Amino acid sequence: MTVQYVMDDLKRRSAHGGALKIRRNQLLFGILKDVVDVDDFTALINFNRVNLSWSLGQNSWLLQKFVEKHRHGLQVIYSLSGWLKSNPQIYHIRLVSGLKLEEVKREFEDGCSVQVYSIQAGILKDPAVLWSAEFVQSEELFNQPATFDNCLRDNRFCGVSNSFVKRSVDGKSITVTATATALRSKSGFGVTMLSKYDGIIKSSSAAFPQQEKTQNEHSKILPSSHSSIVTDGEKGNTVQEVGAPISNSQHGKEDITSAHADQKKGHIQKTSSGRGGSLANLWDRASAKPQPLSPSMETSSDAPKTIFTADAQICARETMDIVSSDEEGHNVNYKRDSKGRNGRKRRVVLDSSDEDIKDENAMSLASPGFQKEQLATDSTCNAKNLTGKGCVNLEEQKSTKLEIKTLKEAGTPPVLLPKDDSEGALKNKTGWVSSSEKVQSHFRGATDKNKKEILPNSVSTSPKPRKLLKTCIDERGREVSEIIWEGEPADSGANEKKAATINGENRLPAANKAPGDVHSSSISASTNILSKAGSKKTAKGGAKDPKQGNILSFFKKMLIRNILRL
Amino acid sequence: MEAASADMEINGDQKTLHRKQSLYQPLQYSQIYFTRLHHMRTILHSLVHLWKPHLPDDPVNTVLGLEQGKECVIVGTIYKHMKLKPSILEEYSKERSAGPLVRPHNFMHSDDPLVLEDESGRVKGSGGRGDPSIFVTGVVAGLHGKETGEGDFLVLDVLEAGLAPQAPIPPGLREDKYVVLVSGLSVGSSASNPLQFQLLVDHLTGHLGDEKEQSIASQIVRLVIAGNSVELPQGLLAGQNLASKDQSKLFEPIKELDILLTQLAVAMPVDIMPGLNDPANFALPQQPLHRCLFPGASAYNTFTSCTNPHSFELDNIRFLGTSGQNIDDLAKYSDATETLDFMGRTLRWRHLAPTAPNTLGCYPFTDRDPFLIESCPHVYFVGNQKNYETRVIKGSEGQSVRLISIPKFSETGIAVMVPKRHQAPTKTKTKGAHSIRLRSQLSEWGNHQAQDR
Repeated sequence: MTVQYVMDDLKRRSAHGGALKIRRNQLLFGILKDVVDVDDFTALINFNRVNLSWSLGQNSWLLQKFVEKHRHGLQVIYSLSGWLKSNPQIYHIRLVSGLKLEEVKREFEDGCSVQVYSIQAGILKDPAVLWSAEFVQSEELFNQPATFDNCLRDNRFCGVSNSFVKRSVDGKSITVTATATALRSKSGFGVTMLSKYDGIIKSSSAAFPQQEKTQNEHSKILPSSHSSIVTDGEKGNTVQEVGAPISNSQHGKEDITSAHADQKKGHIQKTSSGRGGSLANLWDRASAKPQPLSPSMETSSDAPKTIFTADAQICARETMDIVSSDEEGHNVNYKRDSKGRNGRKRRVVLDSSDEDIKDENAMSLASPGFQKEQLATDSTCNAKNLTGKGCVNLEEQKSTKLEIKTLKEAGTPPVLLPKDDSEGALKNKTGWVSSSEKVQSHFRGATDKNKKEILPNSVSTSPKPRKLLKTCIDERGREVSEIIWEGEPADSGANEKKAATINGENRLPAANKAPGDVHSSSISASTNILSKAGSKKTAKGGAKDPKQGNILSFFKKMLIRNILRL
Repeated sequence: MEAASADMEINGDQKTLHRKQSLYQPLQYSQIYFTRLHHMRTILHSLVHLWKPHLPDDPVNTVLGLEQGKECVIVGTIYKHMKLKPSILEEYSKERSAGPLVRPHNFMHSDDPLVLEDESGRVKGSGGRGDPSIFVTGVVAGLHGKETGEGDFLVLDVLEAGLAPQAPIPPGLREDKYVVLVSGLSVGSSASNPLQFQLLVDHLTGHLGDEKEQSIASQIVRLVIAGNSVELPQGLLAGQNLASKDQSKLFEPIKELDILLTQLAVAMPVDIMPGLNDPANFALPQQPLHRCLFPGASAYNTFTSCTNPHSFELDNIRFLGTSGQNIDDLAKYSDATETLDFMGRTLRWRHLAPTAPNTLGCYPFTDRDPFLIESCPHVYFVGNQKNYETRVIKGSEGQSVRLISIPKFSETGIAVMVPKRHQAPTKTKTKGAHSIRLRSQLSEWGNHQAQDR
């Protein structure tokens, strides 16, 4: 039974379950049973597989319950972790089969952690299956497009908060949303972490600014069917799972302005977030002050305590109490919603409603259909976004604008410009152009021979029809420069005579008649060279000109590439 | 190591790289020794009066200015003449077979003499003090003694620089923050067990175990991977063009590592150092592993590919560590009972890799020696060792350094958790440095399975 089958089965059942009001746990137990009952000994459910496949978060309780319910015919592997009696300095983590559990447990000090690691129908022939099953699944998630936010990339099922983590996607950094924790890290811990990693954060956000805009665009284009699935109290959960909040255009505008404000300041930092601003503000605060834990990060009940006074153990106890109070309360662990400004929850809360499951599957399992849709929306929104961004950049930065003009005039397709989605990328792009021009100019100035060879190339690389400048001396002894279309038959009689110098009156119009896509300044600066090159070419014979020009352009490109590489 | 870090950015800028390449040809290693001697002599001169107050004023002499029978101190670079040290020239020597047999992985011989060298000349040391088995070529030290009639220098005492000055630890540090050190993951190696590393990842990221275990995971503020993270199939690296199939085979371990690093980087700051077997340059200081090797993990702001040696600070606690090449090389040319002894010596000599550039690959720096330890770290770790060992050594000025020898994870399944406070480990299990041992119990499991059948 493949994972895909299980997922499909889960969706199918959950669709029915919505009508029949079947409790979710029963449903999952049924599916687990189906998987385990199959006479395939390789069928294996480990806790991470439940995480990844069904997006259930902390689920050791689920497997534990399942094992208690279906003891017979199951092979269980437990993970034991704790301090060894023999050596109290060693924290030991060990996998043991169910039969040896009690024996191995005696080696540990009291209070060691016992968790169901995996269950399978039969004894595994090769224990490597334990790893490979999980790895294959991780690899699948890893191979998904970088823009897609899956549970591997945001660590959403982790038990530890890590709000400082950011990920950059296509030049934009995205705050990893896995802040729903079963256990709150200590307040002091968090403070130090955030304050200590300011440098990292700043540098990374400088490198990948303005992630929020894309996020907002994602949320705009998300199909409305998803939001209709969630209940009123959980609006936004679905969207936040994929890393995009429900937002409006206002958010986008704010992002643009804030990003530009940062840009003007010279250091780009994480700007206000479209996710209700809780994370971003937390981040900003963290950067500015060594007290990063924002109240919006906490649940309403324990927020102030956790921030300033409580330590992790108290938190742990609190959460444990919540857990033990109700079976469904396992989900309460993950109910760390940000009662921030928008009151949106930061995590999907799993409760008994089947809509939730469906919703979870729809987002987290990332069915192919949804992915495609998501990708399509990504690309479209990126295109929109980036085009707009490029315009803003052009307006704001004159120097950049100038260079972009240069780029256009040099014949580079203007379509390239919107691809520079971030400011940094735009700068890089323009930087590249300018540097290449420098290289080119340097190259031109290197030797006369080079000049003569390169400049015909600039003509040859210009759009068709090509013009060739030919100079000859007429009957009266004056220099005459002619512009000849490449396709036309060359006047061989005129080409036989060459001139050492050229008349300025003839030169300028020739330059002005050059194709418009060629940079005007470069042409005017190198007209003299052009004429020399033309004369040299004519000496060799006009019939060879076009081919020679092409070959030379090839060499020129290669040479410039090599120079750039150096 | 701040200065060293700056030096290590050899490949940073394209222009810089170009300039360095053009200057590379005439570079000589003598500059490193010169700089090292110059720097260390200043330190040793200032300490001579403290060590030997009974000596007359200005007891420091040069090798050339030695007078027979006059007690004095000479400062210079130690050269250890080793008979068993392999030399490429021996291949052409007529007396090839005359030398004694070499012990595996150690080129020591009981008759190896120490020679002290400064700008003016060199003199051979003699006498019972100054055990040659401790020292290696490249160490700068002072010798107290007098010249004998045979032209040797009778060594009465050896003066080492001792631990460098250490920044004080700010008071009021909490003890509930840990840095996890791991080395020798050897992803892709047939000897390594991928399930072990997966368990470690699950534990560190807070996926494994109950709330109590996750509370431990929540106290981890950084993970440092000290070298030898991947093991590439050596058969494919014969310098031939690879088929596309082989290319994917070559890249497979790196991708596997990237997937696991992604899971780690999403949960905590991760520093990865290059090691001897990693796809990085050979000469120390090793440059950071290129980020394009890890497209998944490098997208996170928490992922840092750093140099080897690596130095960082957390809450004003200074960490310094290497991937193990410096200590492995010391083990070849000197002797000690355990790895921590080697580590302690490097701190007392105030030099991280004294055998560079003699027997350890090193970039030919011209203006400074990047391995000089100018300020003493609070935690000093070395990766890819045989066993997990830890000890605290104290300096004369109250310095206190925790030394940690990190074992190879692929062989032992042990990672080390270091509390940010570095005081001596106590019996309390949450305090002091301790190790995490991960066992997937594959062998026992196999037996059990066989019994059941």
